[in-house]
Amino acid sequence: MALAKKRRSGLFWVNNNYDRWDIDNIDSGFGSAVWEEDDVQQSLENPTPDYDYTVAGNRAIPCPRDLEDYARLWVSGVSNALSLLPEGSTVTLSWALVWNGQQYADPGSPTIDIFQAADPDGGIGYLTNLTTASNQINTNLCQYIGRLGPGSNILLNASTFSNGWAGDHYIFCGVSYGTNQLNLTVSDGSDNILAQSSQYIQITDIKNMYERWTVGDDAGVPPENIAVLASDNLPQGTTVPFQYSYDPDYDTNDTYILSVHGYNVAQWEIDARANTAFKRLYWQGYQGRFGSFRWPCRSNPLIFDADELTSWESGTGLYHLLVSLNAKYPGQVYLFAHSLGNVAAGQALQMAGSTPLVNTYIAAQGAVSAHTYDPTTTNRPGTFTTPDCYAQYWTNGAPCYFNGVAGAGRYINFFNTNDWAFTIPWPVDQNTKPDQPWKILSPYQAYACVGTNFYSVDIGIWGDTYSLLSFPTNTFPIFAFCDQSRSLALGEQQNVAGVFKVGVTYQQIELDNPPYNFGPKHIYHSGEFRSDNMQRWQFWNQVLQSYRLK
Amino acid sequence: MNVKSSPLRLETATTLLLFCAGFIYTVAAQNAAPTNAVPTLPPDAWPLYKQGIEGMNVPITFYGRVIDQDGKALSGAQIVLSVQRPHFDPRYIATAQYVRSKLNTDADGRFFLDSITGKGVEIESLTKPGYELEPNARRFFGSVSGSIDNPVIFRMWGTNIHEKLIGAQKLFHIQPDGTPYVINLNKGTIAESGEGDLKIWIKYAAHPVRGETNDWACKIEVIDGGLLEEEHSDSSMYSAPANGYESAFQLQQQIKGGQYGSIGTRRFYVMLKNGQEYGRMTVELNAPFNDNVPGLIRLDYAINPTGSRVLRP
Repeated sequence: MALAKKRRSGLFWVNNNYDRWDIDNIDSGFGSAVWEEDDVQQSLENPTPDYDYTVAGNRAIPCPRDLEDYARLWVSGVSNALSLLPEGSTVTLSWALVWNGQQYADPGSPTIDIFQAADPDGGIGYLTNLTTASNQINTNLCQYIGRLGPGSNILLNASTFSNGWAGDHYIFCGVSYGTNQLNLTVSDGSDNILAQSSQYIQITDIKNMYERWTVGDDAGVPPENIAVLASDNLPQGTTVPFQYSYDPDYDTNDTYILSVHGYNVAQWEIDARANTAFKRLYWQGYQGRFGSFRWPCRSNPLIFDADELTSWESGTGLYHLLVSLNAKYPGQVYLFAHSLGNVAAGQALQMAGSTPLVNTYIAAQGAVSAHTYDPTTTNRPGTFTTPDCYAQYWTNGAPCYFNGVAGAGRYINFFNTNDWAFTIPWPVDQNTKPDQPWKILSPYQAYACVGTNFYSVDIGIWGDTYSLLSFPTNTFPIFAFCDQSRSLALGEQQNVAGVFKVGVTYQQIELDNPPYNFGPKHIYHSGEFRSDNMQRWQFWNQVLQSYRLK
Repeated sequence: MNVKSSPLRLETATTLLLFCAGFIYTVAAQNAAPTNAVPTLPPDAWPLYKQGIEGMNVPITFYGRVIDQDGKALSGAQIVLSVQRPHFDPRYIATAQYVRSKLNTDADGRFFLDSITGKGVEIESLTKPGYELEPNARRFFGSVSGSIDNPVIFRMWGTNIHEKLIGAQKLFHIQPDGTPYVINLNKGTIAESGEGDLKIWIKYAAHPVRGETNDWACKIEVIDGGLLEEEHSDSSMYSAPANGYESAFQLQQQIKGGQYGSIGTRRFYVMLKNGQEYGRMTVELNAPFNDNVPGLIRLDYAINPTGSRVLRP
């Protein structure tokens, strides 16, 4: 039984990413441009982080997506009293500067940028409503109030503002790290303080707000079996990766959501997507702990099968991490996997045997054969040249590969029957198994299936050498390179039974239905991480509801 | 051989020649990436991928019909459709082209799309001055959708048709021991007795043993009324049916100890107070909900207290 813990308020992340409108290359074939908001990489085209973004030299918010990096600031009750204040009175925002009655230099305060709020009541419409968000990023409607850094102040009742008052409600983002007390001070014309109110604010890097675990980031090296905290790209001034403090007297009741990424994402992009998941869960009210699990995938859409092998192999490292997390947060670990990350997730939960390590597992857009969980789902159309060892592992009549797994207390399938990845490249990839040299970009290797036997083929100048691949030793390369999935991918298939069915009820969320409306375009395969919070909050709300944390 | 195909064929031939000597990867990489280029699939792969991906583009046939809230045909509505056409692309395996068409409904509210190939159709927009498309209307379709006799129906509502609905989102913690709970939708309250609109119970084992099978049952009863499940996710539930209501919804299933029982997320029309009020509700019944909450009712509802069956807010 853990003790109740007081949470620290006022902690927020610095707005140092690059939220921009971006063209999706895959959806933009033959000259048709499909734009989507995303967290893009710093580049010559986008050299400026969001906290310094300007339009025509004026500070601006680049797109609605960036608003998830803004928090609210209210100055309540002052505007009604303005007319009652003595002539020459000032209303200012500043960081606390007084120590033992003396003013002092203030290097420890954060810097924040403040804009007028679009919501008349200072509500969260700027995060949930596209119209409000559009107004919010229009600096003609919502004026930039200013930048508040160490030693500076902002005069809110300046004549430059309409009616001499900047407003009661604002939003702000972090510009630089720091911690201090934000003071609202009402003074008379002689600098005598008439009233003062304050709020503690800490701005930090988002990488200091959740744990980043990795089993390796070099796709040329097999994944490690033990995950470690990632020490790359640490925030400026940080030498040690962030890790949550842990006190068994207080923390065993904390919830922990672990997120696993898919394939074809660069290392920076994996972190960016974890950042997005963290932020969007935060805005849905999640106050528990969060971690990202990195496995060594390539940033290359052409090498799916090799990455599938790596994902299978990464299951061991993920399993050990889940064992460790479940020991710290017993029964409170929640797993979220996207796309090919569901291979590692499924494998890790299988390794758990009959011991649930995870309270609830959400398989989002799962790039794994649905037959691994339910051999009764309908076959895809087509002719298959390999046995269906996903459905019958591995002899005729045997149960499916993930039959009876119990690594999670609940399994929930977030699927999209129109998903780009599963309706276009995935079936072609499955149909072209066993892999030939051109598919795995290796001139000396191929795979073959003869009858019910799978082979690895070494291609030599004087002839090919066949090596038998056998179960269970070579299960992972057989699945990745040789065996065609006769079913749809889990992430396209509705009504998957097995562990995804409890009683008569399928545990599933159909993402192509309202309110999610994920469509057939490529941008929707990773839709939960892309676009903006206004259009995606329903997804993350559903994540928390499915976890039964909301 | 035409001029356009020559370089491709030459490259393929070179690659195949060197493949025999075991140098394919080097050559393919050199061909593919002269300077900072995106990696590409080796040309050997192209025909197979091209066939697989572009074979998904088939003749599109889409029959649609637009009606108003009363089921009357709406002529002159403008539909913007986008046909998805995947193409093989050696840099990404596949890219998509979206071919847009603008159509108008005829006097009978009908529209028709063909003479184009593709994998599927997206309704980008459907507009007519003075009307709004139902928000849940289905937007994504396969290559063949609807027919002359049975077109895909799109319902639009006059922008001036709104009703003042009483609604709320509620979470109620309950004991799943079969105790009936009475929910008053107008007040948004729950109690074990008293007046109300719904009577709900869940019954599940008090101390289930992990792995052992247990009965799980629930019932949603409408007091002095009925309910009717809406199973079509593309329905916005703006108009409650006049008939077809049952007095209760019941579900019996068996789950194993350690599992979490649920009815899923279900949507119902409700007829209340012997037909004096209509409404809609989305319901989840869960037991156990989590380690701390033995049973939970999640309700999201909107009631029209006027007696009208129109449920458009």
